[in-house]
Amino acid sequence: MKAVCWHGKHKIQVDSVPEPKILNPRDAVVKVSSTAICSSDLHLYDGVVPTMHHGDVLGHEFMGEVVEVGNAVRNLQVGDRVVVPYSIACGNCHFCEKQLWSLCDNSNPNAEIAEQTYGFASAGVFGYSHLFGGYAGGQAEFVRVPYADVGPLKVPVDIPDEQLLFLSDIFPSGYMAADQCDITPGDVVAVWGCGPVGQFAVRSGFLLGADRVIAIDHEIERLRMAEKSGAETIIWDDAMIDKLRDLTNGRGPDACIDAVGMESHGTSLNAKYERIKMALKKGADSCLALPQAIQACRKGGIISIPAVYAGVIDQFPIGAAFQKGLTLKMGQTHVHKYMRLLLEKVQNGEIDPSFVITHRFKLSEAPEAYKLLHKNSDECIKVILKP
Amino acid sequence: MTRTVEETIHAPNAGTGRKAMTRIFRASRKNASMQAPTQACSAVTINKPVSEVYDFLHDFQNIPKYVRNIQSVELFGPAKYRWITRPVEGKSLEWSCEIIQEQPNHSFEWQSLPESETQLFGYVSLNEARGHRGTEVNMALEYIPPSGNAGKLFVQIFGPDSEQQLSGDLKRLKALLETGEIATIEGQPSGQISRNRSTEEHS
Repeated sequence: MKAVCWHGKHKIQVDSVPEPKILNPRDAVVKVSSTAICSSDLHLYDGVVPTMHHGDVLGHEFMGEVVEVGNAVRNLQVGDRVVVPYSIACGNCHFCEKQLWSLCDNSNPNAEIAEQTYGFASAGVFGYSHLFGGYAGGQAEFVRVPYADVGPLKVPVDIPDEQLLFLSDIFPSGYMAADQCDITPGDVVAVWGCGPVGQFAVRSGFLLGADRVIAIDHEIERLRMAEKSGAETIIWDDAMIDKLRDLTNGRGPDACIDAVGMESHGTSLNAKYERIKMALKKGADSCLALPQAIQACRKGGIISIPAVYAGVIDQFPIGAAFQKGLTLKMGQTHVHKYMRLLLEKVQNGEIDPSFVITHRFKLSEAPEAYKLLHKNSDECIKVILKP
Repeated sequence: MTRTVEETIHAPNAGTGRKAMTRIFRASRKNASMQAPTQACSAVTINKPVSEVYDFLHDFQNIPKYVRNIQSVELFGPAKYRWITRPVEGKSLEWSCEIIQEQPNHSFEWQSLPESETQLFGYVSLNEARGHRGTEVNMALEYIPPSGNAGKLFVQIFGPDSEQQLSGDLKRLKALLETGEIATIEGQPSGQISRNRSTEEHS
């Protein structure tokens, strides 16, 4: 079969690889009908995520048709149409029982590597380095899905792929980001970064009852998309904090969402410093949005971080966070917790998640698609691939 | 299990499992040969009732399912078992041991039979974690490897870090009991690569 494989920094290749097999009783094999490139895949593309091996199959956002099930999978049948959560969860451990699915104890076969890095291991993730289990991903014609009796969500046949695919990651990620903001009537939510997760955070902020959502980015097309979702927009610059105070009549946003994470593409001097630091591998994640969000947030507010961080950051304004009594919430998305609820919202017509798609490619064109998403982050917001 | 300040002062780096182990190992060393023992202890919490974990652990024929370096365990007499390691370059080690000092649903110990070339001692205790957090398993192992070539083979099989091995095996035990299987990627597809690149790792 054809699969998108990693061969080093900026080296993505479509290889012919063997088709996946059932390896454990709770596995299924899914024939991929649609898959997407996630902005977090660009971290792999840029070679900043450790423990990637040559030939690793990429992709953690995918959906398709069940073509084979292991003998312990009773809830799925060959032919079922499913969307698969990007993180892998067993459904039996203490964390899964508490709905903290992305913290699953059992799904990362390389837990020991992750423990050395983070103290404890979080869940395995498809196509996202050996730190997260080394699972072959879904930018392929077929993919093996572990714990298939727990993760995959059966979806109706009458809704097109493009409206369902993002239940696998970015829609739940944006929704959890907004959910973590504990939105109450009158709340103003500010969102740093209008990439796909930021776009869904904007929409989800409104779905959860925010009075206003303020979207922040450098890229005009991204801001236009957020505006169509109902957000007020600000062009990201060094005067952000004053602008936000003005826009909220002196109060500051009630909650701030960092949908940028490491390796943000700021243009200020500080951004250049951050990039130089990363290039020199000084060990710190590049980070600009988070300190601003902490500075801008009102007293007693919430900072919600759906964006990915992997290492350490310096210049973290702990004083501002402490003195203003902020609450920080973060982590990989508990996709399993939100999928069913969000499917209902799609079915009810409350949202059509396909609004983020700007580009469509064949799976075989994946190298060009990666290049485009990497180079043109303004106009190219979300890419889907069709095997 | 909780620690007192006194215990903290006298064994600042020791966890509760290690405390139990240290006590046990002193006892076992009386019978030990001249070889330096290999010792390891580790703990895991398993989201299953104590009785289920105890029964699974107590049936040594389950060991190859979660201990990576043991290929088979056969019962050959009342509470007596023969363990055979996974082979390295076609050679494996074996020993016989018996379960002693059982306290059902709480703890048991096992030790090698006197004629066994590899001397082995093990202890496991189980506790119900408070607040419905499952079963706390503390395990301690002591091996006294054989001398000569068999001793070298022992090191090849068990590797340099016996504690890491034990900790990994307990994770596999936990996964097996909680989920019925152990997560793996062995046998999955990966991209075509030339031989010299296949060993490169990006980090």
